[in-house]
Amino acid sequence: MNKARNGFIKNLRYLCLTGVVALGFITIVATGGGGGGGGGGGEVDLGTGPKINNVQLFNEDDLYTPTLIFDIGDRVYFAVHAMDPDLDCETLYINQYYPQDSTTPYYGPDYFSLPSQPAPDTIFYNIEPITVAGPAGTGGLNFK
Amino acid sequence: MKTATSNKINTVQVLIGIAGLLVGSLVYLVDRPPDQTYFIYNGSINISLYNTLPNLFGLIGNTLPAFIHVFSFILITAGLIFCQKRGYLIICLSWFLVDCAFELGQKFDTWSSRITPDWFAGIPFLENTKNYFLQGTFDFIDLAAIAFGTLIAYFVLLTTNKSKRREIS
Repeated sequence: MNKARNGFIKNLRYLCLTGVVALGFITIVATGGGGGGGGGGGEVDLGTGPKINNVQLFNEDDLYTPTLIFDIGDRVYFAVHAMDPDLDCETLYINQYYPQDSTTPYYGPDYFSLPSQPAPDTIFYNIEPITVAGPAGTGGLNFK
Repeated sequence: MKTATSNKINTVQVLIGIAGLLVGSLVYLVDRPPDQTYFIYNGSINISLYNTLPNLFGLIGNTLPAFIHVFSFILITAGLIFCQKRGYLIICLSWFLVDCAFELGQKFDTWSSRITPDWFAGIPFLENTKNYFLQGTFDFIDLAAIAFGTLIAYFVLLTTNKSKRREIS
């Protein structure tokens, strides 16, 4: 009886230890990465529109080096660094301009669903890529 | 004749560890803006006391979490295992390495976000991993705090070690 009891306690302890280790990892991740620099008030700014801070474009061939030069037929992936305190970024709109200084979109807007927004200051990666269709030359992209 | 450690939990060590975590959470609840901490801004209710209570920790609040995390989890782990000196060293070293790895992950953020599995996205808490690396700030003082927390935890473990080896014949 004692042996079974000790065995149960031992297993329970291993279970607790696993929980503690998991909690240790989770507390590291869950207490950081909010983006810093925000703040100023105790309330989250509900109803605030998202602000795009930066966009990087990547060629499918090299998803770790941002670039602005693509060939026709290349697939373009985006990393969009956006700030939205009320965590409700859902859709990314992209207008394409050609030539670059044109004020009328050559194509668009294209709609892209965004992955869930975990933090006010978030970099979205998993956005559907687009394929460069041409014409050749210097064009512009506008993100909203 | 062989020696075995008692099948008990060192409650003092576990309680000190839990107390440490509670103090650490006060840093996030009181001293830091809610939009900087995932578990606060992602909660369904606003538990932040930022701007409600006066700042509690001042400048030390910047590095206190790094110190407290490693300190508390060493104590809780060791308290549950109820081991001896060698076990304490292993536990201290393990948590020290884990905390340092996460801190260094913020320095080499591109690499660490690259090895973060994509399936973390959408899973509560884990979904913040990439942001933790990309938005967090690496700080040598945090590394020093982690080392200091490990040392202090080791000494607390030694002073609260009540385990008596019992002899089994």
